[in-house]
Amino acid sequence: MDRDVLIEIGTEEIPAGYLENAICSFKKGLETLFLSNKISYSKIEKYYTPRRLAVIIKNIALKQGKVVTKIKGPPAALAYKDGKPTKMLKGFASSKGVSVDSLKIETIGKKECVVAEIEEDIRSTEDIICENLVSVIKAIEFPKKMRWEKTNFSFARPIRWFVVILGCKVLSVSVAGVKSSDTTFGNRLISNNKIKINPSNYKKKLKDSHVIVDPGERKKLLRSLIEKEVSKIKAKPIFSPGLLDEVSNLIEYPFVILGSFDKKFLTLPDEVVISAMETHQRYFPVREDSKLMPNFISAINNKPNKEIIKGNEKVLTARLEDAKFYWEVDRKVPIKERISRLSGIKWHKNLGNLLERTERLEKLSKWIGERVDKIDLKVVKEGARLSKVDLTTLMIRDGKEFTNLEGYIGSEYGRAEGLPEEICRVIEDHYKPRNIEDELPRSKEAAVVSLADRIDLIVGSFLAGEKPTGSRDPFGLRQAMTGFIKILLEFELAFPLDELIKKDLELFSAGKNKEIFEEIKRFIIERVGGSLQSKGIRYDIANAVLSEKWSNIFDAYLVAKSMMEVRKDEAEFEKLVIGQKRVSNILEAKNPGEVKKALLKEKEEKELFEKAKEIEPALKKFIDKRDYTKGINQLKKIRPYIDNLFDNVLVMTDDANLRNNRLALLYYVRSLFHLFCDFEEIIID
Amino acid sequence: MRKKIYIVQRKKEINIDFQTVYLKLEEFWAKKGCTIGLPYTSEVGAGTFNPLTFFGSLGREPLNVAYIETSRRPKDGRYAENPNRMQQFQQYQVILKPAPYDVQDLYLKSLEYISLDIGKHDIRFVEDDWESPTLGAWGLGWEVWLDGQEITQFTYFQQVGGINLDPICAELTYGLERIAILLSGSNSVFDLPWSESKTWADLNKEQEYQFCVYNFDEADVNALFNYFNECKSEAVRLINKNLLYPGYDFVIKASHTFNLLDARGALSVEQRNNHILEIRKLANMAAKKWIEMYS
Repeated sequence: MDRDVLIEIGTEEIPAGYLENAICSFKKGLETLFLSNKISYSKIEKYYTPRRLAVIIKNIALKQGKVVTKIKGPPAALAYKDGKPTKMLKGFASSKGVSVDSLKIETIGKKECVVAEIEEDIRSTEDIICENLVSVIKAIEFPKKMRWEKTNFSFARPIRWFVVILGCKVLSVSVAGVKSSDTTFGNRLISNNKIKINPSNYKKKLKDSHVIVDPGERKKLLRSLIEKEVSKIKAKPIFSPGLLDEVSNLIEYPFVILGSFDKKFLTLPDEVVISAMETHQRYFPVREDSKLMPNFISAINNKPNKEIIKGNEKVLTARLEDAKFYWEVDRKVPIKERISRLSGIKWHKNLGNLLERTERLEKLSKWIGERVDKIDLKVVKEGARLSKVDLTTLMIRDGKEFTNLEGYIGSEYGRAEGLPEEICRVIEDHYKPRNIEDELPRSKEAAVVSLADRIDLIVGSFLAGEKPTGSRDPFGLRQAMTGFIKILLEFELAFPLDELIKKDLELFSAGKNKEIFEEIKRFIIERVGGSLQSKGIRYDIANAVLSEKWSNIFDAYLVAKSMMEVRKDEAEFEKLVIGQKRVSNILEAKNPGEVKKALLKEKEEKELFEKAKEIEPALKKFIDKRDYTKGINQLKKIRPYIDNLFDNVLVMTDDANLRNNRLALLYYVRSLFHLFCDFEEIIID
Repeated sequence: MRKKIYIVQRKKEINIDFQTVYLKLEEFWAKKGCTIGLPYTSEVGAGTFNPLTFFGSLGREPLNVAYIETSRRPKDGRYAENPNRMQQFQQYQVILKPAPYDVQDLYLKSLEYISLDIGKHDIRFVEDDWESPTLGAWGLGWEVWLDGQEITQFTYFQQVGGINLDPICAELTYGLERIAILLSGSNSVFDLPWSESKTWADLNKEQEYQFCVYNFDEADVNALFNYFNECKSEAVRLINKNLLYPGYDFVIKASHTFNLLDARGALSVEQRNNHILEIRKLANMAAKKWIEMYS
């Protein structure tokens, strides 16, 4: 116990989201310090609350390990003459304070040199800590730092007390004008008194003063308190992702209260009520089965009483009152009448307004919808038309905590007006998936509008010069494209993407802008390539299929999967690839024209042509059925004939007619391979 | 037009009212050595606009000042229907430069002084990094929650008018109505007792309603656009002539005119951003001039 170190940085309230990273960065800094100073210890324990960052370093060595520094001296050749030390060597030894006998000769680089080994003074851990702790604290990482006192120290929030104890001894260090001591403070509201501590009683003493310093323990206790409290009304809490972590880092000791609100607010859409509780107030909503209840849980930092409950209820009521105000005012304007209001809201720079965007979405959605089986085009069109109207509502424009509910709000206004559910679903789901974890649109119609929305965002942003570069992607185009790909693959939608982009460019009156088209194409190929690889497709196969089929992502994926399948037999696959490469290598870019049967003279060329013609219908049949594995396997049938041709016939013969016809034959054969992908991109390991 | 406003009868037993809270805060900070300042005369969106804070926070000279400020945020009005949202409200503003070591404790003591038993409430310092885009000012700090209700903005200013501050000052901005509602046990701002004989509604409700109608429905948009531009050029002209205070006054007027245009819904997203940028430029210019003239 007398070899444990406690360091506690007492602060004013640090933001909950900063704490975990900060303590890890603090620990890392200490590990580096101890490692470079050869100070051993068994482990570093991490603790924090909003008002303190603390570590306990267990079983630290009281002194450094032996540190030897080597100093390079004169070259060996000049150090000794006839086996005796030269003047130069003696001078070196005396300047370093070592005896000539203790010097060694080592090869440094390519030269032999004299080396003096100097044992540094072994210093005490106490000295090392006192000297370096401030710079370790200075290097703790926070998203934002501030200054507050005259030494201009910067930290997340002001440092107000500072504990550094080794065993029972206070180590004397000052940070930001605060001197170290063995005194900490308890819970601000319940036990805000000075407490003398040491490494062994730290956790216990603070717990007695209503501070749980271990974040894991605090969270566990909070969770069980919440569950216990709601079980009193036979309900369950709703834990949205991240909320429990955040709330347990907003308090030093968890107490919970169960509050209630007027049932009339439950006529508002569920997500609105939940947002009112979660977004700003950080309350936990409560449900019975799937039904939302007029109750909430709030975690507080003080012992509960009626007044605290009443205060919290009042605040939530005010927020719900606000939501109800929006809900009622917004509903006075039917959502169809809101379409024209979209013209008053600008989209991003130089790209016109949201009405124009809606009109494009309608046309693009219709275009995609016409290329999709079993789809209700009327729902697609109407859904697209209404997809952005909620951006004109007060709930979205004005209602701070509800702005993240776009889509959902539009659909709920639609439902309240009795709009068909399929259309409401398009409005609600066309933003999905918002991120990697988010679910997909729940209907084909919504999926189609989501695709249109995404492509219009991408095309528009490229036109406005807002393409992603490096880590900068202000309009989230990468995420938009990832969602686009996910929808295509999951809904198995195949349509020519290049045409869709051209159509959107035309709608932006930029149909002739070839440069932008190429830029968008490059962006898409890069994103699809990444997506394919994340699905286990080899990079070269991804490149090969995208070079032929980038504009049909669904087919590209299926071909790539088939290629991976065929590749399982690497030897066979290799032969296939080499066969096609032999064909390609000899060909020039120019199309030599049709094969003239009469000019096929040699047996080998006749055979290859016949075989190729023979497999062509089957090949095309399998492609139509999207059975690409079987299709590629057909190609294997002609491979021996390719080899035969090259081994026995001179393609580049002097007879120009024959030569051209042979090239035409090979060109034809290659075109069969290219029905799948560009085999030249395949790399044989 | 609307029906006659209703007046809520005050409950007799309550003895804490708005003016008590205000007077007690004033007394507390005066006792702590603050100079008691006065509210500004042009319409401001927050106490920060008052030259006592805007210029006072610049430079090295120590400053401890406290004052009430009538703040106007046209967009926040609700036609006096929502008991928590008003287009005009009262802030109590305290500026402490340099920020004292025990400023959080001082703040909590001030709450006790206005008879809040802090041991019986949940008081929380919740992260809220304050920024005034129009003033080119920002700082780190919290909103202080009392039982879930935000009652104070607590900020360590880092920059004002685009200028890094040294020393750093602490700004405390109390929401007086909210605190008074809590302490008096009123159900809404309407029945908040202001004094022994008047409620908030008696003094403010009709005015609140009429200003909402003006802000949202009646304000002449064209006239406002013109006035915004006039204020802008007047600010530049005067600041350049070293008439800093009148110049800055026009910056404040430009800012309020912008707020009115915003409430009228007359600005597109882009226009809105541009207007904010323009005001910030003016504020930065004023701050720079202050440094040039006085530090």
